[in-house]
Amino acid sequence: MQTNKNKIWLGWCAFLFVVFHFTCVFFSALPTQFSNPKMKQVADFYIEPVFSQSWGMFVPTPIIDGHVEIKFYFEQDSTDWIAPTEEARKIHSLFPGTWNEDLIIGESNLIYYLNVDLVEMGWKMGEPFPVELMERFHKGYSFFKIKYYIEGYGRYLFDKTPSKALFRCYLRDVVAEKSGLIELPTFVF
Amino acid sequence: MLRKIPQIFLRPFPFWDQIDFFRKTLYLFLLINALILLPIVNEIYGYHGIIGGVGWDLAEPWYKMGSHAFLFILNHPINSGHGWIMYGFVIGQILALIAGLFNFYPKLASVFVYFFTANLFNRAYLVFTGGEVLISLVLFYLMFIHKSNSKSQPNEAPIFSEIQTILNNTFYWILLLQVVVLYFFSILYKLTDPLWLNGSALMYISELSFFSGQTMTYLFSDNILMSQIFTYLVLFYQGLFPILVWVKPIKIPYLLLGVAIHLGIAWWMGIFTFGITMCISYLLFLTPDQLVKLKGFLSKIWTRLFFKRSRSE
Repeated sequence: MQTNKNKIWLGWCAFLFVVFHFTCVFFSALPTQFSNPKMKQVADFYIEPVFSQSWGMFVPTPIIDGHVEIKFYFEQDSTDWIAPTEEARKIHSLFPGTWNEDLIIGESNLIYYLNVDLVEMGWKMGEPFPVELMERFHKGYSFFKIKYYIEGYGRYLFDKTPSKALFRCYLRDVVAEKSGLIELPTFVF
Repeated sequence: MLRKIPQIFLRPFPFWDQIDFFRKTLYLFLLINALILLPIVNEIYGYHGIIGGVGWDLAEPWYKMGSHAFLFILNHPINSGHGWIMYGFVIGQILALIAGLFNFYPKLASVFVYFFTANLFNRAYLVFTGGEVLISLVLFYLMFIHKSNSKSQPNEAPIFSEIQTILNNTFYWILLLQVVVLYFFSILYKLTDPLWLNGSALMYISELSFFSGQTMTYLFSDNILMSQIFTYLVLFYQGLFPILVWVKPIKIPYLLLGVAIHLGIAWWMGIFTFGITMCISYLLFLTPDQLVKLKGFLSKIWTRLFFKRSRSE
């Protein structure tokens, strides 16, 4: 009888754990407009980093298309403008499921973060980069991601670390049907 | 009714076949994925690759970092001069997956599969999608679902100890609910987005070079009607998933619709890992009878392909 009671108690514990787990997931993953910051903070204590999840897939709808170009400067020489994922895009459009997918998704995420920063800085499509807001850009989502991206591609494509590089990005808002080229200030390594 | 709740977790674990087939399928897919990524491991996982790490605070002792210290190892500055650590994780993941596939120390293999995979995914977060997030979560949950008799022969009926039975039942339900939660939040987010609500989301997505192949562009670009039909189909599917997946008579056609949608995402939008991972997750929702039918169907296809090939040779 006692064993049976203990067993039932264990069953209830398991049930309560499942309820607790998904309650935390619920408060952690809610969209910002519905979430309570205090509840989210408490939930995140349990959720991060093992169960961290955000399922706003394609929300907000991605509307910025674009591609990146980099001009590398090495100690002795420099390159032309290079689109690092150009080849990957061509192959990926014919054969999805290869490693080219990951390189393209990487660039799309990079452009997404860059656009988030630019919009927060009040930038409008077609305008030059607001150099006076450089300090704010440094603290944004994209600056360090772009810096590592350039450095990594320098090593990947040329097997050496660039001393400096220029980074520009063609952006197109597919809803507003506006496009522009933005060139960022020089990256020094 | 209340008495039934603890019984769900205490009853002999009835879903072993589903879990075993799901785990093997997922491991096989992950193994193929790991091999496909081999040409770019330096770029995406390397400390000096194209992705900046999320950082590591050297001033904070590792034991105060919680799980961060175990899941972000490839971000530690020690990796800077020791590229072999990253290769160790890549090889470790592949070996652990092979061990898991062949039931070689399955419990240990499941822990290592999670450990290596989560670390690699966390390092290369910029090039990954929700598919990798789901895989990490699922691998974590799978660490707790096992037979108790690791030495038993594969053809023996599995034996589960009392605690293992509770763990198996608990994490089986967590796995199922995780997929349901994914769809619940996905639809909740989409219902806050005007482009999803007016049905134009797919039309605009099809204009993005990242997420659209020729078929996607052909179908949806400048075609608002097609876009509305498929956008609302996705909303309908995701919104009703948490309810309809439990309704037996329509579960299979409903999941087949989901497979079609996710294969579309994989092939037309080029988000392969996510699309395939979602299809694999549906295996968890099959009943034993449905699983037997699926296995029979797959083995038929396999045999036909094999025979056709050997005949033509």
